[in-house]
Amino acid sequence: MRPLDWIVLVSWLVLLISYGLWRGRGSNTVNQFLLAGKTMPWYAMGLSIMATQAGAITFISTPGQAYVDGMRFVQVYFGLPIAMVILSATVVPIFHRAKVYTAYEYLEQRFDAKTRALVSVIFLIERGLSAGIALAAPAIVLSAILHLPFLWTSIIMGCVVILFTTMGGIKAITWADVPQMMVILASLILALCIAIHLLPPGVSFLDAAKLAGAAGKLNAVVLHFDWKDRYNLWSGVIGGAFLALAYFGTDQSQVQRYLTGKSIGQSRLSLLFNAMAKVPMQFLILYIGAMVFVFFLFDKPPLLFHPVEMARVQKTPQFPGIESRYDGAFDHRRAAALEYKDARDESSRTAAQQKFQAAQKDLDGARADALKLSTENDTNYIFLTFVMRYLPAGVVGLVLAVIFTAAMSSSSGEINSLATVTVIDIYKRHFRPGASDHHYLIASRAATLFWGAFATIFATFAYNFGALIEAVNQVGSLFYGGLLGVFVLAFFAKKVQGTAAFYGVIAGELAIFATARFTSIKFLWYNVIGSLVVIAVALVISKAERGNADKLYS
Amino acid sequence: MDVFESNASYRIIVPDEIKDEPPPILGRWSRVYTLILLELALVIFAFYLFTVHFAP
Repeated sequence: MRPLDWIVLVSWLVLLISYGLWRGRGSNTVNQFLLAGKTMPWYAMGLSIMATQAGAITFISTPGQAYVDGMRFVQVYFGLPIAMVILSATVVPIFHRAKVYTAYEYLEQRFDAKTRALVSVIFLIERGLSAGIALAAPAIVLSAILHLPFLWTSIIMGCVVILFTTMGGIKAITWADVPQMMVILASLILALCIAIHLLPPGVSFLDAAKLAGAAGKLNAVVLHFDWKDRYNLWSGVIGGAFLALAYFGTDQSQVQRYLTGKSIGQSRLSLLFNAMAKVPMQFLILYIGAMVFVFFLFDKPPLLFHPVEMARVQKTPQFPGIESRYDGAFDHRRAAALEYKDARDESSRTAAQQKFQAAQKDLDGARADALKLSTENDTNYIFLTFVMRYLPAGVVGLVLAVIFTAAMSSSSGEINSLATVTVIDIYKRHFRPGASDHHYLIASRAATLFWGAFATIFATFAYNFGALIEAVNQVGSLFYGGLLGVFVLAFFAKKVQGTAAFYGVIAGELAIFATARFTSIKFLWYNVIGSLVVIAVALVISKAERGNADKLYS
Repeated sequence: MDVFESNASYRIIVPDEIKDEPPPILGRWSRVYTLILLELALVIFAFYLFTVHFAP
């Protein structure tokens, strides 16, 4: 990091936080603090929803995902526009008209207190874990890149998030996300332009695309269906739609964003804006990863991108042999890439492509052997290595600032939603109903402080979990199916009552955990399975209840 | 009382207290939804052509 990078990093942080707090001033009622007084316009909500999802770890790891596995990850988002349309037509008007603070509050209106309490607790567990991860993952990466102790980076991030969220509430968070999202997009486009600009003379934009294609990195659509394959068109459209329905329809961290809208129409537009922009944006991020791959065809990348793991692996006795294989494979691949680019006819192109793919296989083999000696995957470090080594002074600081503030955006949104559910669905409902607005405002700030501290402490321990981080990232899919199922019942199964819904959620969660534990079905399908089990069990119990009632009265 | 304050005793709230409004374009929400789904179909088709064109 050069002095200019530090100046840009600190300036952007101060500017963004000040702007958010200035826009969030006057949040001195519960309604202002948790729902921004229902005054937000669609573009602020839409950009904020997008910024919350495009958290730091997405920004860091998505280009790396394309580098390693190609662009097929984009298919995960194919179901999102379908979900947004369904939610805009159904959920948004229902929540607005029910005048609720939280999605779970509606469940008591529709079912009963125990179903609301169960679903609220499921949310607190799932989102509480995610909030810690949302802080830990970028803190680990920034610690490795900036050579700062992990404890420092996680505590600094945690303190900034706690201060910002406790002072500004949802209004500050949402408004800060507007410039944040614009700078995320600008820095991504800048990174893409620089990656293309840094290609050797004679390698055009089209050549780069052809080389990425020859390496199988431009596989944006995979038609082949396989239950065990995480990313294909079908799992993306069906599983992705269920995941997005659950995430945007039942997760308070998202629902709260569009509940701040000044009207049903504004909330709808914020979701539909995401429906239109999300897939192309993910495509852009993945395409950057593919271009970084092409850049590293000509400029030798490190054997491992994780600097700490690389230093450790270098000390092992196997390292010299692996490095020698890697260097040889890299030279062959570069020569084959140039040959493929310059090939004039079909037969020479095919021959060059075969050489290129063989060299790529050797190189992947050497990297896989090095990764076996490492304790951590290095996908998250690929894009950052490119940024740190090749981007000019100032741009590096900007990218790191964006990562920091993207983590802040995700975490503060999550902590605010955790505080909202804690106060509205648990504290106000079960412990202290009927207190003054000022009392609940203090309670909301205290709950924000508590969840912020919880996330920071959890984040500091997450470092020791190491590889568990990726596993815990899939925690959402273990719970979303149950949440989605109960909301589908609430909206569409008028005859189902509280007890049936309650046991349906428990059965759905058991089914998801059994699927995860005993089958190799991939996580995108958990949402489909979980919600269908909730609905089926609740309908059966409901029918049995009605049968018993009929007998009683006859 | 704050209009958004939750009720202490819960009940199913009768809808229509908050009026719907037309979208800023196309006149009806159903047309906007159709436009979004058409865009999705076009994007997937374009990505498919992109994949096929650059396939190894």
